This record gives sequence, structure tokens and C-alpha cells, in this order.
Amino acid sequence: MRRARAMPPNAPNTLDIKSMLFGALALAIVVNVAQFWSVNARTRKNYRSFAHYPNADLVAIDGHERSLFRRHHQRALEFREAISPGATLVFPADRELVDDELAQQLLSYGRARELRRVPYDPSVLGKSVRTTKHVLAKVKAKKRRAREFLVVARGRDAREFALLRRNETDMLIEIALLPKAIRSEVSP
Amino acid sequence: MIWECFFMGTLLATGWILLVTRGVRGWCQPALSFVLGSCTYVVIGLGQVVLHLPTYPVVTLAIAWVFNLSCLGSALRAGRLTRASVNGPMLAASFGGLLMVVVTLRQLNFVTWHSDSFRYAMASALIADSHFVEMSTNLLTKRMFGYPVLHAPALFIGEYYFRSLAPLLATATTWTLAWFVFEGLNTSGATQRDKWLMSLIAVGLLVSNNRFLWNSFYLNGHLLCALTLLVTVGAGWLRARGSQPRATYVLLQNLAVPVLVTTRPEGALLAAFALVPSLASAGTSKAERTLLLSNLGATCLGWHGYVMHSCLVRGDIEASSIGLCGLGAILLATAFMVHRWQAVTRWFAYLVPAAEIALWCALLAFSLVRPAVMRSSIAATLRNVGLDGASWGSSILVLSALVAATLTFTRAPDRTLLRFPVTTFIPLMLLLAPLRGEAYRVGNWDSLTRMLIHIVPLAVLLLAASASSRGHLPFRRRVRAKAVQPTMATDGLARE
Repeated sequence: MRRARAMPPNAPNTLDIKSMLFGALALAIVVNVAQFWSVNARTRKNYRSFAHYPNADLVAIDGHERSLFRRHHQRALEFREAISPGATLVFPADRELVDDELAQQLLSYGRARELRRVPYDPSVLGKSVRTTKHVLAKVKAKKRRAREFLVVARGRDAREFALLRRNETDMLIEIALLPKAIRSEVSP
Repeated sequence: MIWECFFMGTLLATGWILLVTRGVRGWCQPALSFVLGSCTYVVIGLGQVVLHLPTYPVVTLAIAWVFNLSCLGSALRAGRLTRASVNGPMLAASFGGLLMVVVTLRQLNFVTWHSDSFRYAMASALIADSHFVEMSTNLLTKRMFGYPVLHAPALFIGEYYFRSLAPLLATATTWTLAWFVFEGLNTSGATQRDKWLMSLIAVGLLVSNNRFLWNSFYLNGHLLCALTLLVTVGAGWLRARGSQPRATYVLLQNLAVPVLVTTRPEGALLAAFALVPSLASAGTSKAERTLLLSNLGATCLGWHGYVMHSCLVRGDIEASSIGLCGLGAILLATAFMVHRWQAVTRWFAYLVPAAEIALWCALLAFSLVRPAVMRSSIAATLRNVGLDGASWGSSILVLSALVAATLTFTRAPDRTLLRFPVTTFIPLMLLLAPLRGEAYRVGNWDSLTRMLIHIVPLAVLLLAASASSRGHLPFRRRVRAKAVQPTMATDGLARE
């Protein structure tokens, strides 16, 4: 590596770098401090240098009705509010059949405990399932190409759910509610 | 609170054992211990992921403690750990201070966030419940592993993040910066007063920056990336300056690199550019070069190989992972060549200019291929930085002006090690815009605006380290013609 060119200690172009640098850096600190509060004053709360929240629950921090957090994770939050923590989910083994986003949301913010991958086609099995009763939570599709989402169970304490699909609707249905033939397919 | 104290204490203890068993003493211990402990924890977690072991934090913590105890045991047997080598008051103050900070921060509950923060928390939750295989391509390639794994144990107490982790990383960054400045000036023979004064000024410049404080509470990997970049570059610089113990600097670099690679999508490139001057430095031995190259290569290949495999299972093809796997393979092959044929290292002298030229040429090429993306990115960045579009105030402008002036008007030995990662950062980041196919935006939520923090501590180190540099006027001949008596000769200059 190239090293700095050696110069005699009394070279005429040697400057008092140290003092100049001390001064320049001190001035930079003054500039930073002078604009500190004005920057905070014109910035949204979550972009301010300090922001206090009552607790560490992300849902509470940005969980109000039209928040960014709720918009992005609505399916998981609806599931979390409808079903007690610790549920087991059954998803198709072929990952291309269902959006990975749904599985990871339900496992993280939805508080599901386990996810089992079983070989089945959710659209084929979902055709013969009726969901007029026991709908605990519903998320309407607000974007184009998004799907409606239903949570179907007899109560909050339901433990096992299978993901089925009918008419562009993803349904998490309590396995105990499914017809016997479908039940044997999703929980062999 | 007890769990958070235990976890942070484990990180500190892990690093402390690594330092003390290598004979490192002094006021750098608390900060470097926390940095080394955090890096070791991430590296253990990374091993679990790559080897398809369960990622439960209890398993990671158990492995960390087995590692700690075996390190302690072997040091005791070899006689490297004696009563004299342990600074009792420093140890007590470190753990006591950590406890107080954690308790205070849990009460204060300061946090700053952005929509990406929720993605990081989601990744932490998946790691905590050992559902890592369920991570989507988006989460794997963008939020990655290094930062979420450090927050994963918080799920044990029903929270998605540790309130004290980001502030502790910020404290470690500030403390490490101060120590690098102090030790760097020490190698130049600066006076005690100058060393302390410059270290304090460097800390002042960093903590007075509004965005540094914002990042100190921010749920995102930016500050961890900044810290590991600072450690990788700073340790390489101090090693080149002849600071001792040399082996500790090699350890610091080798533990920081895997964290850098797995914390940010651009981390592998940042690590590669940060190591270029270290590899090119004449003072770096063959063994050190081989170790640095193989470490970076193995991490790139291991992590991005895992990501590539996970994407393929989902039917996705991630070009970035394939490219970075290729980089890993090239680095491993280079490490092998360096180890086998010493003559290869002759070419390393050209690495710095070659990398710089290649980077600018790539930027030019992409500007021609995707002019609209590049134009929008530059316009947005100028507005964010120059017209305060993203809460940086004028701090980046001032810092850039100071760096430019310092590089133009002063000369210092081995400064290329600090200068190169700083001056290549902007072209590298601008290059990422066409590579990802999306222009940067105006506002606090823009990626490049938030990524600027990666380089800020390093730029401050570059400035502060120049306190012992020589003045250099570009119009030297004219000055010589008017020759006057020398104006100063600091202690440091006299020694140089």
C-alpha cells in the first residue's frame, strides 16, 4: 500500500493541522446542536431522535385502526384477536400454492405456535366447504389481486386450523369443523 | 427485566472472556466486550441456521455459555488468566453499569421505528420459535439475520424487541470510536491531552448528530452495520499502525465481518470494500490475509448459499444471492491462492486503485444503462442531504466538507485504510439503486438516507485520526518560494 510521502519535520508547507481540526470539529458540533431541536420539531414522532411509548408492544405502538402496522399485518392481527395463542396451522406442502407472507405473519404476529406442511391442494379441498357459520374474523381484500381472509372456528380456544381456499378467499378453518374426508386429507 | 439483564450480561461476558484471555486491558474493555459478545452471538446463531439446527435462543445462549466456559477453562489451564490479568473494579463497573442502563432503558421505553422495523420484529419472532424455514424470500433477502437474532430472545418475555439493545449498540459505537481515535493518535505519538481532547470531540460530533441519536433507538440493523463497519476498518487501521495486541485486532475484524455480511443486503459488498485496504496493506501477513479472505468468503457462501437454496425451494431465483455466492467462491479461491503461492500477494498492491476505478466505471455504465433511475436517485439524495429532506439537517454536508478538506490538505500514514471505505461508500450506494431497479426517494423513509449512518462513525474517525497528520498544500512550490520558518511540530509529528 502506498504510504504518505515523507516530509521533513520543518517543511515550509506544514500547517497547524491539529488546531485547525480541533476548531473545525468543534464548529461542526455547534452546527449539529444548533439545528437539533428544529429538526425534531418538524419531524413525525417515529422519526424524532427520542420518542417515548407506554409499552414495548408493537401492536399498541402503531396498532390504531388505520395504522401502517395494521394495514400490513391485518390478517395476523385479526387471527390473534380471534384465537388464543398457541394454535397449530396446517398449510400445503407446495409453497407455491400459498403466499409465504401469510404463514410468517400468522406465526409471528398471529401467535400461532406451530406450522405443519401437508401435501394437499387448498383450492381442490376448499371447493366443498361451506363457511356460513362460525366466522370469527374476516378481512376484506382492499388491493387488487389480494384475497379475502376468513377465520372459521367454534370459539377462541380452537387449536388446529387448516388453510383452504374458495373463490379467491383464503380460509383458516378449525379442523374439527371440516367434513371427515377433508379432515383425513389435512391431518393424515 | 431480569431476562433482558441476563441476555445483555451474557453478551458482555462472552466478549469480556475473549478479551481478557488475550491479555487486553484498559478502558476499551466494556465497549469491545459488548461488540465482541454481540458478534459471537450472531456467529453462533448463523452456524445454527446454516447447519439447519433449531434456532431457539436458549440453544444459542447455551452454546455461547459452553463456549465461554471452555475459553475460561483453557485460559486457566494455560496460565493465561491470572488474578493480575483481571481488572476487578473495571469488571464490576462494566456489569453494574450495564445493569443500570438496562433497567433505566426499560423504564424510559424509548423507541423509534419505521415500517421496516415491523419486518425485523417479525424475523425475530420466527427465529425465536425456530420457524426460520418459514421466512419468505423478501424477509430473508432484506431483513436477513444479524439484527433479528439479537432481538429474538425478547420473545421469551412476550416482547418483540429488547428496549436496551439499540441504545447499548449506540453506546458501544461511541465508546469504540473514542478508543480507536485515542489508540490511533497514541501510535502517532500525540500527547495525552491531545488524545483525550480529540476522543471527546469525536464523541461529541457523533452524539450531537440528530440521526445518530435517532438510530440509537431505532429498530433496524443500520447501527449494527455502522458499528461492525467501524470495527472492521478501525481494527485494520490500528493493526497497520502497529498497535498491540495484533491478534486481538484480527479477532475483532474476523468476528465483525460475518455480522456485517448478515445484517444488511449490501453488507457483503461493504465488508469486501472495507477489507480491500487491509488486504493491500504491506504490513498484513500471509496468514492474516488468508484468514480475512476465507472468513469473508465462507460467510458469503454460507449465508447467501442458504438464502439461494431457500429461494429455490419456493421457486424464486434471487440474482443478488447468486452473485454474492459467486463472490464468496472467488474470495475462497483467492484465499487458497494466497496461502499456496506467496507471489499472488504482489498484485494486492494494485487492489485499492483497481477497486476504486472498477466502482466508478460500474457506476458510469449503470448510469448509461438506466439513466432515469440514476437521475432520480441523485436528485433525491441531493434533496435529502442538501435541502434537509430527511432530517439530517446540514450535518452530512458539514461532515463531507470536512472530510474533503482534510483529505486534500493533510497527509497521514496508513490513512488509506480509513479513507477508502468512506470515499467508495457513495458510489457503491448509488450503484445499488439500478441494481435493485428502484430509485431512491425523498424523505426519512428513503433507504440511502438511512444507510448514510453506516459511514458516519467512520468519517468521524477519519477526521479525528487526522489530528496528527501533516499539512499539505496543493500549491506547494509557490509556498516553498516564499519559504518561512516552520510554524509547528507536534509531538506526534516529531516522532513520525
